[in-house]
Amino acid sequence: MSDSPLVSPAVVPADGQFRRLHPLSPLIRGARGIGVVGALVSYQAWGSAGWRALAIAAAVIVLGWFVVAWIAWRFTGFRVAERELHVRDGILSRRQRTIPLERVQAVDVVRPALARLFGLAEVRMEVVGGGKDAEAPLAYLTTAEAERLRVHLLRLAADAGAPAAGVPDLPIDDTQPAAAATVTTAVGGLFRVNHQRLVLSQLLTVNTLSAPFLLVFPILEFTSEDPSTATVFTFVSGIVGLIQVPVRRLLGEWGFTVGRDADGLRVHRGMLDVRNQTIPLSRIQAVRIRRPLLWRPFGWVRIEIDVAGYGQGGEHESGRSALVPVALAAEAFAVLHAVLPTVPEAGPDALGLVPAPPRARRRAPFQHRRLAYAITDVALVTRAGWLTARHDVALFARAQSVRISQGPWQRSLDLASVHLDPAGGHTTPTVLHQETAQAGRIATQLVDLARAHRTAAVGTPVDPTPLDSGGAGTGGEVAVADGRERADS
Amino acid sequence: MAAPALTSNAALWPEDAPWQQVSPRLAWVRRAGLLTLLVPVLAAVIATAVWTDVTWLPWTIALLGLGPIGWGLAVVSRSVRSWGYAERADDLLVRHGILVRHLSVVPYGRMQYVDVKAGPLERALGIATVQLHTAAAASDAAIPGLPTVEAARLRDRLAALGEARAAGL
Repeated sequence: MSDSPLVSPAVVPADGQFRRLHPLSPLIRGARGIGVVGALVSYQAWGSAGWRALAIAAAVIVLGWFVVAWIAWRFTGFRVAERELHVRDGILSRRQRTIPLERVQAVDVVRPALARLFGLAEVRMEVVGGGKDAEAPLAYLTTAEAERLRVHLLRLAADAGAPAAGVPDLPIDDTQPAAAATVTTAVGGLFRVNHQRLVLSQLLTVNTLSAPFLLVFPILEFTSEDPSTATVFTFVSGIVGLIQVPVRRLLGEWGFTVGRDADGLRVHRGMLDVRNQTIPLSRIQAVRIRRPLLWRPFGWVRIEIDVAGYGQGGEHESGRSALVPVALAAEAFAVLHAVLPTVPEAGPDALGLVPAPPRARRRAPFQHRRLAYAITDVALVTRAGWLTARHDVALFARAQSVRISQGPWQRSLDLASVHLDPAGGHTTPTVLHQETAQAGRIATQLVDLARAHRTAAVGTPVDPTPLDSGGAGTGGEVAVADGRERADS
Repeated sequence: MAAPALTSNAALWPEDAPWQQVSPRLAWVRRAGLLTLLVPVLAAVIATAVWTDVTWLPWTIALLGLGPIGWGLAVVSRSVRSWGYAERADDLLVRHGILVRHLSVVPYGRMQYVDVKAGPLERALGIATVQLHTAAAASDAAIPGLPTVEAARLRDRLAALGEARAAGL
């Protein structure tokens, strides 16, 4: 990867100095821990010690915490050098991480609720093949600074041939006011979620609907002659776990807007923790369209995208990121068409999907009517599912391998399934239960198409017409042969 | 006769691929693995026979435990023969399985790194497992039972081809 002169030297900041994070960072990062410690201390010491001892103990702990956090802050620094981001931290054991920017899949600016009060933000990167350790979140910078760093990192991570013009001046300076004005909602808006629909859609999930029924049990227990706290607690924590997913979606996808600019997809979302994500179009591996049973009467659709690198830190549920949290089908497909022109504006069914043979019913009695596939010039589109109908789309340019599988039951019916594996492997589109001979032909076709797209290399088919200047949006097909190797020192 | 894999149906996959089989010595590794499973089963049978009065219990355990092991032993050589791999111009094919059959097509350009593993018994028999790693867990195919020299050759060849055709993500 060293032999890829991807960026002109003018872009690289001459300044090789390590920069510190914002001085308020230790305060904000420590706040949550202090709350926990405080609660523990007060609970433990309530009966035994007097007010004075309690206050002193709390003060000592809080002070000690701040001192440690402050020292840690003094020892933390980052810099952008050449095409790498260097982050160093650690008090006793020093650590310096090197993140090659061509490995960066997406850059997020996250503003947690507390940090927002101080006008601060966190820059978080999604790095492929590095695990959580490689993400190296930078918390916190001023919002304006974070936004500038985001733009700069993305430009560096983007493809060769990007002209130096238009790249903001770095190193970033603190002289500019921390006005949040630069953090705008997405440019070239594609979609904005309807809040009423978002709330209703999350109410109409199996999890939310089943919660009231489960609530009956702890209430019965509570009103019984001899209520057991353990039983009540078990049920209540079960219910909390159940509604966690819809609640997290509601909070996380509140105010969801998605747009396009030169860097790729811009996503802005969140009620308490506000997030600005930028996903280069070339990093999209696969797309899943979901229509749960309870949404179908309203004609609602959810679209999720797989981005390589996302989900390894457990931050994004199941490694997918919403493209459209919920919308009417026509609206959602229009967004998808803008991002992925191979899917027609009328939806994937308009591609004229090839159905599975009628005898597939004996292997898949519930979903056989949905089983179908289509092969476009850039992607495989499959349809499946019973209660939740889904379409999966995987891009040939990102395909890692093609597989065929055939179980004994399938063999007795002369059927086989073909899988196309995108990187990350959260969504693996599968052509289920086709005739064996047809499955072989499909597999051969997929292998050929994947090879053609692989050798075509640079110039991603996702986005044949890059917006404005010099293809900054068509991300790097950078050779990464040693995908797991990281330079830690 | 080679175990009928997907390729036995000419329409499903081109038979002209240069298929290679793995070493029959792999069968001994598989047999040893199955035989070690006998230990807990026999222990359970003896324990229930000695310490309980329920006469049907040891018989049931013996049947449930020994049945699958016996079936496994019976099909070991067929299952080993079902493994095959073929190096084509742009990709590596790996096939295996007798009950559920699998065929993976992994392009050289997508391989991130290649491991060679060998346990003590495998080393004694002079065979090794070549494990491929790509960016998708589903396509991380493994080829067991390769003679050590062949495993090293395949690893070097895959590494060289992977570097030459690396396509990134």
